[in-house]
Amino acid sequence: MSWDVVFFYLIAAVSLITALGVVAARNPVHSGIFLILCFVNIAGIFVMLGAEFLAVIQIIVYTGAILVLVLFVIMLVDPEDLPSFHTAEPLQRYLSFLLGAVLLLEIGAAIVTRTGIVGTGTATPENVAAVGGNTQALGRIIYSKYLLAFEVTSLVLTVGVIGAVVLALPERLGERLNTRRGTISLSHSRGTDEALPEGPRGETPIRVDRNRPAPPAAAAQRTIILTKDPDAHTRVGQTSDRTRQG
Amino acid sequence: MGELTVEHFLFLSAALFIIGMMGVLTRRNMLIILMCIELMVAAVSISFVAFAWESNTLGGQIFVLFALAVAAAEAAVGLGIILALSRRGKSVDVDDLRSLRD
Amino acid sequence: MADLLFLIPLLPLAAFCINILLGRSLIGGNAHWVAVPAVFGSWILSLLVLLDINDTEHALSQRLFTWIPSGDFNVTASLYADQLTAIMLMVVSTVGLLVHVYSVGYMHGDPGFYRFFSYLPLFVFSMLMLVLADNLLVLFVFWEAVGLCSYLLIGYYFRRRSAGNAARKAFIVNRVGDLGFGLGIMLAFWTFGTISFYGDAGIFEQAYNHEALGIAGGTMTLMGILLFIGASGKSAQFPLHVWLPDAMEGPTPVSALIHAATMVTAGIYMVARSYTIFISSETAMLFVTVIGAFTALMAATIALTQNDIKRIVAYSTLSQLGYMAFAIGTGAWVAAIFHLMTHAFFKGLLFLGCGSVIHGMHEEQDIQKMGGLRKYMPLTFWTFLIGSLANAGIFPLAGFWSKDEILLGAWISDYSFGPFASIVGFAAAFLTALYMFRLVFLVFFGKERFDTSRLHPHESGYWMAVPLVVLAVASVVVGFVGFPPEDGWFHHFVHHAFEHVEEHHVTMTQTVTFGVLSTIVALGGIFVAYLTYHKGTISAEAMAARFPAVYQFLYNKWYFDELYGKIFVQPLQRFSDFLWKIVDIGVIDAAVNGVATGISATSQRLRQVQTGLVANYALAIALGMVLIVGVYLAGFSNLFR
Repeated sequence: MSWDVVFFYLIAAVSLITALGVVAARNPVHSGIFLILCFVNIAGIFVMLGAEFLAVIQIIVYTGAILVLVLFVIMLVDPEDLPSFHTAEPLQRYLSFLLGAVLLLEIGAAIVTRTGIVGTGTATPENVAAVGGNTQALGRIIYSKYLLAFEVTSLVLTVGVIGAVVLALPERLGERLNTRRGTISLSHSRGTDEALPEGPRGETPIRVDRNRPAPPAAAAQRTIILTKDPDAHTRVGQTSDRTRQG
Repeated sequence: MGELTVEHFLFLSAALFIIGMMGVLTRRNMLIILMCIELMVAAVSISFVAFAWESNTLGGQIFVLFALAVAAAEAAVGLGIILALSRRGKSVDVDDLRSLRD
Repeated sequence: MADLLFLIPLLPLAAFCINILLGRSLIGGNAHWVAVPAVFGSWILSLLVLLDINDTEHALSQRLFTWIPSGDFNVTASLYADQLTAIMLMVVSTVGLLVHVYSVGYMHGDPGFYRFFSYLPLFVFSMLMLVLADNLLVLFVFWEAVGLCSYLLIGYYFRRRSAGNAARKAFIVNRVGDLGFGLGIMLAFWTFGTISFYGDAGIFEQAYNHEALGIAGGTMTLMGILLFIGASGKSAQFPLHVWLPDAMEGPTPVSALIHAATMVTAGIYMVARSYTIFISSETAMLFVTVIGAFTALMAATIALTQNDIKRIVAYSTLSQLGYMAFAIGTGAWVAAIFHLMTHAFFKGLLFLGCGSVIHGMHEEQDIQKMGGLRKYMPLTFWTFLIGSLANAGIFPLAGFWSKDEILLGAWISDYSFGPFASIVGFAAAFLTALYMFRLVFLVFFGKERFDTSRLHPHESGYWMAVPLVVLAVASVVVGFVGFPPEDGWFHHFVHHAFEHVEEHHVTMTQTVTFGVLSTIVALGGIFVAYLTYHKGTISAEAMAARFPAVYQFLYNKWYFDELYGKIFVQPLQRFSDFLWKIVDIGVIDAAVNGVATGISATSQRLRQVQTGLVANYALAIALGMVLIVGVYLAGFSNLFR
């Protein structure tokens, strides 16, 4: 039994346990931490497979940037809004376990009966070492053979950035619309608007409710009021249950 | 069991993928679902790199690189959506997204 | 002249088209100005055709167009007029013209005036084409066409339920006969290879030479019987006679034209046309004779008891048609045609007279409510009397000559059953005179059996009177075209159409004997009627009371309608109900509705898949993915190899 195998089993075991932790944790923060650990282990796997560059990139980008972002958002979203663990219907749960088991069997069968691709490529460890290592080999290929994919990926990232910025933007300053029915305020997640009288359809201003059931359909017909002054039409916290400054 | 072969890594990748998939199907919190999706992407990356290792090419690693980039963008946008949702006062419970119902 | 043959049927057809298309909008009450001149034109042309054929002794023919060019089976629409056709053309157009004129007065003020005057020329067209046809298929087409017109005209007062029923009954019973006719046509085609009448390769020549051609005698018998079944549907022979009395639901001019003079004679015409087929088989002739004689006698017995004026005359028509039939059956071909012609005139006269009486009595048709009408309607009375005398066969009116010839012709026939038919004919003649003069005495003589203060019978107008007079004159004189008996102009003329039959030669003794005998029989009948219904010496009621079963049997028309109802109509009705309720509603509708319901139920269940939860949809995606991987594994991988 060579050390490779031992290390592999070790790292694999840890990554599986942490993955289970991601899925099973109640607290999303715990989920995030588990995921970070899992990714670190996966980076270890990459190293065993001779993809050192990828391993490091995984840790820097994935764990260092993306998962941190996820953790930030978890904190921004009210942690007390945690819904219960499993989905409402038991059928969903059982069926997904069943599917998971079946898929495992199928993939297992596929793996076992596969006709392997015996090393036919040119990137043997010797060649790679001759070029100067994994990073150098990757660099050679990216900027020659896979240049187009590289450029397209950068485009994807740009679009992603733009999308994320737009989604997170506060409302723009602009004019107000005529009708004043129920409104939403984008800048104050917990605020409600000025005490509007009940709308013609008997609507009340929106509250943020902890254990609120699914919002009724009429809520979707609200119009947006765009105002200059975010505070002019909001009365923060007064009609909500919490006395918190918005 | 003596030698380390590709099948080991493939089984690991499959297991991680399935764990991630069950997380997506089972959990209600949108953020956790997003994390499970990331887990699935990572599992597939292992598979790619394993194949690249077996066949002595670098194509698999290149693919993983780009997949990483795309997953990053996707996570950013997804988180933006979740943030916007929660700002509007809707919950992050996936079971609340019912407007496809007739 | 041959080139103008097509005009004879074309003019009434044009009148029909104009009246039916423009009748409601433009023409309305003036429809007769279209129809009457058209039929008059046909009459003139028919007369010219008759004179032409009489001069040249050649038949006229005109080819119109090829109707069905289908390889070997080639059917042309052609017109052919020989002597028999010429006589039929004259009969149809003359009676047709007179009925058209009469109808102007009779149907005056009727809301469907234009409709009447479109159906009537349509009928005249169909009948003319029928007699002008030169092959079996064209004849069959117009055979059906006259049936259709009969249906349309019987059911003319379509708002009356009884009229609709009568029209349907007529058409259906006709169709039963047409089944036989159709089978006969097919058999003829199969046997002879053609449906054309004339020429050396035509049906009739082949039929005459059937032995030389190797055609079995049984085939000819079968053909004759089938053709006669068709004829008995149209000419109302037993057992397909039941529609004719009910057909009296139509307006009286319709009864006069269709059910006395023309349509019912189409059957007789058709059999006479196909005489070579019949003379090839003695069995067929026997069949025709038996049915004809039986019909003649049966109808006469029923007529004794009926009380509706039109029905009595209708049964008289049945009886006379039976005469024509057994005349044909015993080989007296020319006599049958002679009687056809004279009968058309005096029966038409009688029906028109009935119409006049009904009109004058304000739509009353029951003779028990009439009486003493000769004071109120003298013209009608005298013409009706002439018609009755002709019907009874009194010398020297037309009916005497023709009926006498039939009786004599049957007696001297080559067939062994001839004399029996003749005796039956004598019995029927007695009864004919009896019931006709029962009718005359009850309607025109005696005391009025209606309320004279309420009802004032009046004579008819000119439009109705003139045809009555014309027909009365015809009933008197037209018999003389066949004088001397078996030797007159008529016989020589018509015999050309029956070339393969020997002319009857009768001696003067036979003629005189039969003439005297038939006159005695007829006078006897009149005398009995006089005693019973005028003097009252014999009491009809007492007779009826003495033989109640007989009376009921005759009064109910030998219970034929009830019999047919039990055997055919009710089972058919039950079967139709079964097909409707169980097959149509229960099976077919249920299947169709069941499919719809099933689909609806299935879609309701399937609908529940759409929960709206995104998690469920993700599950569905995962499920699909698992399935696809499974399929791939099973089919395309190393797993099972």
